[in-house]
Amino acid sequence: MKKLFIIIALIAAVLALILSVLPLSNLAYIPSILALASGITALIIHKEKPGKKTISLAFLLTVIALCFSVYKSIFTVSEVGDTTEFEEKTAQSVEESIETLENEIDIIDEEPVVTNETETISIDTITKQIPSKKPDLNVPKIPKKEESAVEIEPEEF
Amino acid sequence: MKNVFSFLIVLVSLGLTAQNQAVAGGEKLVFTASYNMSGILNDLAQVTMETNTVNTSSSTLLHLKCTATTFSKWDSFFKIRDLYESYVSPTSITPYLYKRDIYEGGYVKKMEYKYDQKNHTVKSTKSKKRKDGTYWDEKKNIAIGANTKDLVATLYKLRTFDFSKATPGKSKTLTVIFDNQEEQVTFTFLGTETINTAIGKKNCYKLAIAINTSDVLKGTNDNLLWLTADDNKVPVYAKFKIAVGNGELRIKSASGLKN
Repeated sequence: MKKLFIIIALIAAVLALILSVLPLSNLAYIPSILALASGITALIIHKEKPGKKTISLAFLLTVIALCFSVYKSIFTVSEVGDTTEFEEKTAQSVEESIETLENEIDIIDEEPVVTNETETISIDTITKQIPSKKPDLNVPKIPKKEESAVEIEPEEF
Repeated sequence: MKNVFSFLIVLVSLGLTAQNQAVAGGEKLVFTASYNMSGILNDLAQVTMETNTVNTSSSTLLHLKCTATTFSKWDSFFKIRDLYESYVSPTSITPYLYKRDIYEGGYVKKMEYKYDQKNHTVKSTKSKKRKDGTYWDEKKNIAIGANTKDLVATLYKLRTFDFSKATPGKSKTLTVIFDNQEEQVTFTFLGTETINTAIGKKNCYKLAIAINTSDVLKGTNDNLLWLTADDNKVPVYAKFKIAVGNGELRIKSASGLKN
């Protein structure tokens, strides 16, 4: 039984060490804990029997793995690598797309873009801006129902 | 007076067709994609969603761009440089051109859909890189439904819906064209939830996503998306079930929001 725990501790410690040097260093915590638990259990079960050197080695590997993992999780910042080529490709793709849109695609839904700068003008505001004229001008009065149509309504989910 | 009246007519006609109140050009959302195994998070890549206004000689379109870039520590193991683009109508999010250019650990694939929205067809061009460095192309004409959209346009279309009156359990199925095949994607509204994000504590609409005919993203409520419960409906958090553990997408920053 002691041998089994020693083997588990050693395998888990090696695995933890390998994971700690890879980008998946955070995952090294799982085999580290397993290695420590198995090592301690092996020590507790049979204190008098030999094999302490192997357990010490497992502990040492685990501690190294933990140090690597903790250091990397504290000091390594996740940053995007070199994207110059990718950005160039993206810019080129936009140019090609505009050309395709101009020459090959029939755009049927041509509407102006509603941007942040665009002011939403309600019917009330516009009608207030219209100088009050005499009734003979016959300004068409828009009924209430149509006024609400001016507000851009999103489609209901 | 004539001008004022014509302006009113334009406004009224605009109101009848326009739906998009959530997205405008100049928006940039940055996300961190992570792999979560037994509660241990591993940051894998940065995902960005950008919008820009693009002018052609005859029209103004919205350029929707999504990119995925692995963090530098992963580049030597499995480098990802994915680009997904869609050119859509700014008001109805109707797509006209879709492009996908992916590089995933040496695997290179390009897709292009040229939409014919009058006849509801798509001219598709697929090209893959062979091991010897040459490309092989495949061209197809595909008939699509009137409301079929590509993946990117669907993501943005989702943001244009009004969730304020939705009741928990209500679902909507959208048709997405991916890899020359139409897939039915069902979004189910699960309710509202307040979550902590990098852009603050946000009250969100919680949605479940399921692809009806595919094994990807299958399962009930395993794939979730949180959209802010405001006019922008910004996707702030997403959770996806994968073979071992689960994937997460967390918002890092948001700029140029419309509202």
